[in-house]
Amino acid sequence: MSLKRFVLTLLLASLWAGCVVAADGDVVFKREGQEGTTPPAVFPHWIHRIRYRCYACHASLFEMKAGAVRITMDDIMAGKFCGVCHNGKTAWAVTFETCARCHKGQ
Amino acid sequence: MMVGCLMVMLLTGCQAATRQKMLSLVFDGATPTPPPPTRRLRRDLLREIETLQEQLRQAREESALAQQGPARAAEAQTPAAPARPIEQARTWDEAAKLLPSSDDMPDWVKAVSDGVIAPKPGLDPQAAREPVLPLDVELVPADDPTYAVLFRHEPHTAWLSCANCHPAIFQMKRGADTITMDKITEGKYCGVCHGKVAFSADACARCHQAMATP
Repeated sequence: MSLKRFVLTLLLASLWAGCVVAADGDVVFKREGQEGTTPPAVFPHWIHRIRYRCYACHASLFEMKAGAVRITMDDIMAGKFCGVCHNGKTAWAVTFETCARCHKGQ
Repeated sequence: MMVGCLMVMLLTGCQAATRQKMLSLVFDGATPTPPPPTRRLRRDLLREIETLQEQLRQAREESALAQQGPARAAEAQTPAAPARPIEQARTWDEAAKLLPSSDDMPDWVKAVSDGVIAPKPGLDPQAAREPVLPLDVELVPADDPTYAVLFRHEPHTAWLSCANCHPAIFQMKRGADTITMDKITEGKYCGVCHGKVAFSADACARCHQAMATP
């Protein structure tokens, strides 16, 4: 009985640990659109931070406060916000092949 | 003889300046016309324009360097750094293992000073670093001086520009804002970053030096 409980606790703990993968500063965006198949975008702050200083993006491209600005895919495709870099030149381009790199939900 | 003289006159007459002399010698009232711009004059003007453009370019470069300070000038000359191992990390867990830590939290300032990461100052490869400000500010609470904080601009300006914090988060004048721990834990003042993308308020002694254990 106690062994079962231990195994169950271990299983639950590992599941919980598996969910908490977000690092400091990661942003899970809220989707304004209808509930659909596309999960919300998760912005991995750490990936960008190991490559750029704060002032490379803040506050010229993005406000300091997470979620302060409404970002649409049209904006990104027009070269604004993420699209300033994610254009296939500085960083990987936003295409139908790369949706899931951001839209993975949490 | 006459033919020779005529040939000489015809040849010399073809040149604008001598033609004028010849005409005024033979005919009265031959109006002196201004000589058309010669090739030499045009060439000189072009050279002058080139020299001025060069001077303007140099002056612009010098003023840009003077504004940026020595740190930026040095940075602009250094070649692009090679990719760091941490840049190959696919997950945060992988990256976190490579980062130095203090108080069980990633030490981002040490990561830069140790060269574990080399975050670029801008998207443009020629973008220059913001100057690092070696200014310490002592903030002493009136009611309890033991909780004095020595705020160091230096580690902050390694990451941030002045405009990232001033004046939206902190007014420029020291003591103009009443900063409390409650406000910080609510996400105001230091709490805009600390507890989110920088070490949390749990690491008391990193700001309140008197609380450091000997």
